[in-house]
Amino acid sequence: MASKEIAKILITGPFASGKTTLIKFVSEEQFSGKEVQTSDILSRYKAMTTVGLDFGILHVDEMLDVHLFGTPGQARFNFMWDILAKGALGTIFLIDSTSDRAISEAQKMLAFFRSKSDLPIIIGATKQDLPEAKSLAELTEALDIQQDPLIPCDVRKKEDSKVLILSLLQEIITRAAAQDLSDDNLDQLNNSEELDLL
Amino acid sequence: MSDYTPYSLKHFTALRKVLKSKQSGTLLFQTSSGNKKRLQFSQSQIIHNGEAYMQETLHSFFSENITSIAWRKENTSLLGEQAISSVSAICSCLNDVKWSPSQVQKLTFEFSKLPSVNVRMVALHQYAFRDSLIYLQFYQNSLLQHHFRPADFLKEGATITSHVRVLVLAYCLNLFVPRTTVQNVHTHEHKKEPSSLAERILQRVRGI
Repeated sequence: MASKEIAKILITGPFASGKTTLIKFVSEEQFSGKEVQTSDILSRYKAMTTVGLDFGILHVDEMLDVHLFGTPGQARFNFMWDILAKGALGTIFLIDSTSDRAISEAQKMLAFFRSKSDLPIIIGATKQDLPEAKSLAELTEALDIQQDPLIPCDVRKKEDSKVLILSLLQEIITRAAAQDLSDDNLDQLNNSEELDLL
Repeated sequence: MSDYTPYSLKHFTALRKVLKSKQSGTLLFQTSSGNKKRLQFSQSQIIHNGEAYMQETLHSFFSENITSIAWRKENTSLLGEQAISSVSAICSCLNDVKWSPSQVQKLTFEFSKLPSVNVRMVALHQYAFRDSLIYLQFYQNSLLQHHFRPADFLKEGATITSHVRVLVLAYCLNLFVPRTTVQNVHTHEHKKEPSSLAERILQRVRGI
């Protein structure tokens, strides 16, 4: 009997961006890293934080499971990237739109991420409903992410969490299609793509 | 020039083809008031000799009833004093376009005929498109629903003009394609390819 396939998706982003919540909503089994009291300067922003990995499993069918890895938000855990990114389908990067500190941290994390991997990435901007939130245009400029999809989201809502995962999957499919198509079948695609209204 | 019934999507289809082909040439059109106008394109840019006049012409294209349209392809690059990104110019123009209720109704009718689509993620806020968040809603709904048609999107619209504006922009810029086309492209792929895995997971996540 063939062994079950495992697909890996990474969920990352600065401290307190909603990674644990996102994994909770899209997993059927979840194993959260130990929640401990925040001990450094970050304690004024969030009382508890995740130490170690968040991990969730989504069963797709009898032959395929998705493993979701939530990486610790603090940049000092960047060393884990080489291990986690190996074989991953892509990454969801969450950022708190209201926090200058998070945006500054995200700049460093994204630079690090790009230096290590060319995995497809979707960036989710949380807390966009709050008045102090940076707009999508401001975040795009601050993070220099003109080429990356940026999606406003509230990961406390299941549908928003699903949208982030679905966006990443769509990005993977689109990217693969772009790589696969030769000039010949690109012409074919272009022709069949037309919505025939003329 | 080809003639057709006013209010149809045909002139948008022509623009869509021009932008997709990235060829150089001139789009000639005539409005129902008899004015003949032209827009010059080169490599996805609009070539012009004055931005105000170009914007006025583009505004006519999107807001007036077009009675005939033609495309004159150029083999050499067009020269003008200035060039502007087609996406920026079209976003800017559509921000200001006002349609009559009957135009909105007709456009709604035409877009409602379209089949299920896949919508592409494009950060329209970078082009200062006024309804970029509504476009995101369009994109997100296409992800969540297996059979998502523009008609479904229009039904959700409390602000129907904004929804029509999003569809006009997305249609002209080729931001959505029929869903079956995308699926057919992948039928040859090996099951363990990342895109094939992604498609299986996508169907599962939609059902969560």
